[in-house]
Amino acid sequence: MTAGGADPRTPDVANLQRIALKIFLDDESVLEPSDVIPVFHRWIQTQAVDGLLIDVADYSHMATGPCVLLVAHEGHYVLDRAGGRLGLQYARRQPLDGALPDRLVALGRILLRAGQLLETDTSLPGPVRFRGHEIECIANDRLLAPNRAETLTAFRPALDGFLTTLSAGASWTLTREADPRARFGVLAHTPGVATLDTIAARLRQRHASDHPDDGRRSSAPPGRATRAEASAPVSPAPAGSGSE
Amino acid sequence: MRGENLEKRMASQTWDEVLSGQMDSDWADEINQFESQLELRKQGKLEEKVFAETRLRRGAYGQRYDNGQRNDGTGVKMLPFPSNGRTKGPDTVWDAPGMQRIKIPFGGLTADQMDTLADLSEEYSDGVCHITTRQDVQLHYIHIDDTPSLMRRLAAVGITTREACGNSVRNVTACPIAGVCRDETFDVTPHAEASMRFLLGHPDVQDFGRKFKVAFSGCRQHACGLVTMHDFGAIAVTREVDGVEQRGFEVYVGGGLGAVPHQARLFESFMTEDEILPTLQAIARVFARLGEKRNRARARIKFLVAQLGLDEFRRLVREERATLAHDDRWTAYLDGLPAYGEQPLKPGHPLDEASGSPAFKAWARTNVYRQRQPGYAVATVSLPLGDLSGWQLRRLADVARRFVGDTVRTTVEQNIVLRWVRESDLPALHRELEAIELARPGAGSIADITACPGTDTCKLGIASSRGLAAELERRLGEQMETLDEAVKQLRIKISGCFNSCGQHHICDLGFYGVSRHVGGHIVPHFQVVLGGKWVDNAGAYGLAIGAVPAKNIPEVVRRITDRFVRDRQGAETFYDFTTRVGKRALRAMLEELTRVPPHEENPDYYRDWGDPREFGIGDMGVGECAGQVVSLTEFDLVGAESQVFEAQLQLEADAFAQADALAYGAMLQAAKGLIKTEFIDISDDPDQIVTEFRTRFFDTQIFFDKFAGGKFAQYLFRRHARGTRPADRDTARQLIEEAQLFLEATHACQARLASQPVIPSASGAGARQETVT
Repeated sequence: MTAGGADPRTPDVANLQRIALKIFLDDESVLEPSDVIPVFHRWIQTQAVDGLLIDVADYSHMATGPCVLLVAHEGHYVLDRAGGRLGLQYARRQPLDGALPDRLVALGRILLRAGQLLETDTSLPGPVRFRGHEIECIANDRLLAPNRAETLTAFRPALDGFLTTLSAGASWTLTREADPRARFGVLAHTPGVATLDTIAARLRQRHASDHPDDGRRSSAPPGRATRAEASAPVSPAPAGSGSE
Repeated sequence: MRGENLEKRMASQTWDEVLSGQMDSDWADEINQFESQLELRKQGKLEEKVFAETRLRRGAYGQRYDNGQRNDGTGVKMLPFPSNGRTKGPDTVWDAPGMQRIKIPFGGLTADQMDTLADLSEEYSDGVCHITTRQDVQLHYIHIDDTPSLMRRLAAVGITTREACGNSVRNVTACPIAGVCRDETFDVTPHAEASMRFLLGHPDVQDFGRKFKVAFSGCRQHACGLVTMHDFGAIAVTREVDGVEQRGFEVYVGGGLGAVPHQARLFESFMTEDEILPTLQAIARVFARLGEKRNRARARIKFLVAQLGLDEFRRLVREERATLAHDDRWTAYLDGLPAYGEQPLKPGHPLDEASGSPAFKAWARTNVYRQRQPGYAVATVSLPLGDLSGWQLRRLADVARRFVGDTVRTTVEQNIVLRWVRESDLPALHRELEAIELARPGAGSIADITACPGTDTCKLGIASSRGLAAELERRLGEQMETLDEAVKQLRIKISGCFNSCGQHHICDLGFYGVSRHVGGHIVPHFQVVLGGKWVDNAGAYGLAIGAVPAKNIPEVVRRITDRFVRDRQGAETFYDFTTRVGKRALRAMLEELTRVPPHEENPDYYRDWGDPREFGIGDMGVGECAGQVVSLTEFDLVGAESQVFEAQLQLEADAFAQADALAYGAMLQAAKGLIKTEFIDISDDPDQIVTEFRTRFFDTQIFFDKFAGGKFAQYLFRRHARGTRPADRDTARQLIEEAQLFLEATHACQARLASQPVIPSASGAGARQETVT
């Protein structure tokens, strides 16, 4: 919004659908962005991840921003270097069913499944590991989620629920994007170390408890066993104690 | 009635409500109307063809794979979009991602507009803004349902997408340094802006058979305006009348690149400023009235000018001009010209030449242009492949606010320039650009390559222009410090197909994507185009000298530039060098690079740059080789290619009749090769070849291109019908271009045939069998 006067937008996060979640590589040196181009093409061939997978877009010539996109109808999978940090993002474009907390869990599951596939892809040159204790959440909709304090207030209950599921109750520190023109975004960090498998398992448990009817369906990536949890225990702490 | 896009269905408020009062009311009404049409189409109440042209005129283009199928490397697969049969145009699925082109008249951007473009790229696209070769911005992977909101947000900052595509007046372009150039005649910005405002939505520009492009240039000698490749181009000139300097324009018409490029012709050597807009209007009316409407391939004004002859065209335009009712808008803007000009943000101050880091100095050498106004400079932000992220664009808007204000422009070289930088601020500006990863040196150098979207997103792309450009930029960027100064100055431009969006005709080293059928596989190739001229407003168009496998193009660049360094005479330009050395010698240097190793020996040749999939064309499956009959066709195609190349040499020697005959012969030989797949006893008689070709390949539409239909076959039919009428330079040159395209279409047809099973026939050749899928 660039016009003068009061901003007429009212945060409406309950209806927010365009949400992006990003996890970060533990060691960026193990992966060249172009390494994932054949992997994403293979994902299309084998329908390895959720969604109607369309194409791969190569932006690895850019020094920042998206590097390689797996373009999908429902949402893009992005090897992303925004903010100077390489990670995997899932950016939802089409609506999901359910209330915001459910949608966050669903998005998290889609993202983590893709992250786990990258971690176990033997064609990649190095051991790819994502951090399970750091996640970025962006509301990709300036109409419903202007980057203001009220948006954080409105968004927080759903976000806290999602994050504490990931950390098994451990607290998270939240840092909100400072530029009011930027999309509303929060970088969440929790002490300790957690693997992707750890947090993926927790999300699965949450989903199973929220949706007991879905219990028989396996949410592990097809054809792979889930890696054993390897993280240090995460100490329980009150949720929502993060700072802006 | 208005549509229900995602936000409307879900949200408590809409952008329409939030931006109420911030949009020009006419523009707001137009967008409302578009949204209504969108809704009507969704309900099936608007014909898809009509909606397609409607959305195109709003800049909403189709994108690759929007027909709902894609070759994933193992075969053609359906993309089951949830569109439920809805389409947004013929063979265009509703839910498939599309491209939004955003007109940026003369490339002029304000910081607020940059903010909005950044926002839109993040929310509706893939986070990337792409600058085009006509100073537009393009966003990809847009859902059609999002376009009304996107357009409203643009309208709120004074940008319209109206007539960004479709059969209308496209973006009006102009020199990005107009007004600050050291040797321009005068600033053409207000004329470009007035033309855009006058023509936008004008009733006389709504009934064209094809697009119409307008450009303004401040001088003859530089490239910036590229006047000769435009339907209407104007170069600023002055003359003295009764001791008083009078401003005007040297006006050109009928130029254009595309599949068959035409250099614009001089329409009037001095047109006064007040006549520019009425003449544009008169030309538009003549074009709308007499221009081709049914055959899209012949519908640009260049064909009308060629058909009528320049004198007759000029007469018709003048006659039309005389009938026009006066319109105050023709001249209203002229009153403001004396006061026109950008206001610098800060007082000028010279640069302390000793200041700045080594990185700054390297950047300044290529990216800084000293303005004619003392103490100011233009800084070029060099963008890899014309791309920058939304975040970068927003930060660049901040940089603009701090250093220059709203004096930013996009360029036809897919970069962005910041004008009116105080020279003493340049080191600080460079630091800020470094912080947002936009301080890449080498603007306007051989490592600053122009490329169209190609197979990345374009439905017409044959080979990966961006993949090749990225690879060349990487290699040349690494060698920049050691390259010869003369090589650094060269320009490379790449198109993914013959349609020339990458402007491959008007540079030193041009490439355009083609394919070749080799041993049962399709191999990505690029035609090497030499003899083009970027300066002098695109003063000469190059011609293809031969197709080389895509993976050998970096070696092509190395060999040609090495020879240029070695054999250059004095300060000879590359254009003069290629003319002197000759295309025969240059082609001979590349001969061994045209060979493709067998698939089992090096499968990398069978993949395109940046794409690990086995290469295919048109995303159709690649089948088994049809055997020896195909080899006979290939033999004829090789012969045809030799003939078309010989035709070029004859053209260069001003032997127009021979050039014409060779180009015609090339088409006949290629057609004959194709006929042999069905009728091996075909004779050399041109009448028989044309008759058989027409019956077997044209009437059956077997030769038809997916997008161009039968237009390439028409090149042969037209030339055959012309008989022995003599050719001049223009017609010979045009026929060479057409012959080249006919050959490419024959290659593509041959590849399609080869992908189908064959059964033996009594004639001794193969008969095609319908492919079972």
